[in-house]
Amino acid sequence: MKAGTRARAAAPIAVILFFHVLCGESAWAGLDNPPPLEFLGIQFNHATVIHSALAAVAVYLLVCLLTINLSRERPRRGQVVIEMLVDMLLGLVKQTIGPTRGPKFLPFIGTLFLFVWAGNMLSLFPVESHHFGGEFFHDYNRNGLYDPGEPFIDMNGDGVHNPGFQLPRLEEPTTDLTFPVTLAVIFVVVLGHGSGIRFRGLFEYLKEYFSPGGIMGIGMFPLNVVGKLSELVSISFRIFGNIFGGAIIMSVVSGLVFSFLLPIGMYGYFSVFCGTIQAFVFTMLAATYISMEAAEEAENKGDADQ
Amino acid sequence: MGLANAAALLGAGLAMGLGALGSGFGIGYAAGGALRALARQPIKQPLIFRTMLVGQAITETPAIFALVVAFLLYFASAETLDAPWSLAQSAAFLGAGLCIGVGAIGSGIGSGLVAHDALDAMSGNPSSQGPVLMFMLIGQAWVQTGCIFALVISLFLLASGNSAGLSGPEDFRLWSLIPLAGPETVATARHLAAGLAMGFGAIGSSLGIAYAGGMACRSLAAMPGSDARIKTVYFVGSATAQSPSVFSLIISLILVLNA
Repeated sequence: MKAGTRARAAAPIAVILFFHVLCGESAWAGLDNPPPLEFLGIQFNHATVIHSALAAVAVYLLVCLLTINLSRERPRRGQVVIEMLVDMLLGLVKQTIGPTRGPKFLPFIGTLFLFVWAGNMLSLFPVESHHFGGEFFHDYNRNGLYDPGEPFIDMNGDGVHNPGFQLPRLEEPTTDLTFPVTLAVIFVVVLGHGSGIRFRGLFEYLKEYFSPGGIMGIGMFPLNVVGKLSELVSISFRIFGNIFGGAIIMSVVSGLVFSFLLPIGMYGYFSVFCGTIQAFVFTMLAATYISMEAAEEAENKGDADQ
Repeated sequence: MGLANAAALLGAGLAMGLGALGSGFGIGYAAGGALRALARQPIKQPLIFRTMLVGQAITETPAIFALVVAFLLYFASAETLDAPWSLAQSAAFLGAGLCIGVGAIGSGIGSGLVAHDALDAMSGNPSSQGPVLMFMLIGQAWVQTGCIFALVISLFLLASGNSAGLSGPEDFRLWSLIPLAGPETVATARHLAAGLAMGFGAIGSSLGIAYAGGMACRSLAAMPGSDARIKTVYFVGSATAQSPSVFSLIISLILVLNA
């Protein structure tokens, strides 16, 4: 590894260490359940913040590792892998957004896919983490009051805390709704609608909200706004529900069936297979929503081909 | 004591039982499409098998959503063991289960329909596999939008059920079964109505978008190279077909948030 690469790889590790210090204790060593970070009155979930940073660092190191010693004559195995990935993503953006505008979005779309995919793969690492299920199960006791102590999880329904439910695994950041919602806002609102305004102009962009036009248009405005908002809801809840549901199934089966083989198969299906597919679907939907705002003119291109 | 507990357990059962209905049919229908495609293109067996697996994994999504809500209702039932006798809270739990259960039916069947049609189209023209696979994924994702709306409403209902359970008598009284005009009765009706509105509203849109998605895959395989033109009609058509479920979402949100 060259010196420059090493220096670049050190930066994200410094970020992780900074988070570490900020949290005051080792959150992923399973020592204790630290209180949530509070900044400007907003509470931040530890596991989400740290695990998403972990995923970012993992992606960074992986890509650094795969792109050392690039060679045109004799490509190494890592180079072939990364070239296949870039080819696939380039085909995706060209097909959805367009052959000339598409490649401009490739860095964003490619980073999104790798980031979400690495986040979904985190559950394969058997590191003890007290967080499971984001805000649904944690830090709230039976009366619904905030309690930063032991999370109350009751599998038998007898009103007794049953810690056998917990598993030594890193929680995916996708099991917290804030992670996909943030990514959806960045990609659908900022990139998609931003490029819609940029490519078509503000007036043409706003005209879409009064879409049937005429007198009907004013009545249709709130419906169109809700329709646009439902894009955000649909893209973020899809991956959240899938990964969260998979995590619940894996935890319940591993907690109830004290065996080795069945949980391994379930991790293979729910974590590796479904995690990869859902990461790809999330990426593809983001590209599709961008293309709905920033697509090139379809009719002219089709006629020019003939 | 026990009404909210019972309602949460009943809601969990309804959610999972109804929610598994559509996905079960859809996954099998996708497998049927794969077998039919295999009869036409036996050499393309790896491609067809891969596409079938991806399509089935996505078709499973509505059932997984139903499972999430069922588990959350199960946890909620344990927490409401000694909660007071509250009709509104019970209606919220029952409505949450009904909402995702009924809402998952159309999405499960529809996702399977899209996968079936995509496999069929792919076997007719194997050279168009890349665009057809993309159309299939987009179509399945849009089919599931209705089910995601239902999931959102279910989570809202769960939240309002978890927070609204503190009024009502301590123990069973006969008169608490008699509907009286009061805030409790109104909240009960609102919770149930929200669940029913979103649950039933999601079925038709999902099936309609599934038809559009399947036909988009078929026409793409029939006319390779014209995907830009198909895409325009397909996207706008699907967005328009989505609007009835958006109406349901608006009404359900109004009902839940005012309860």
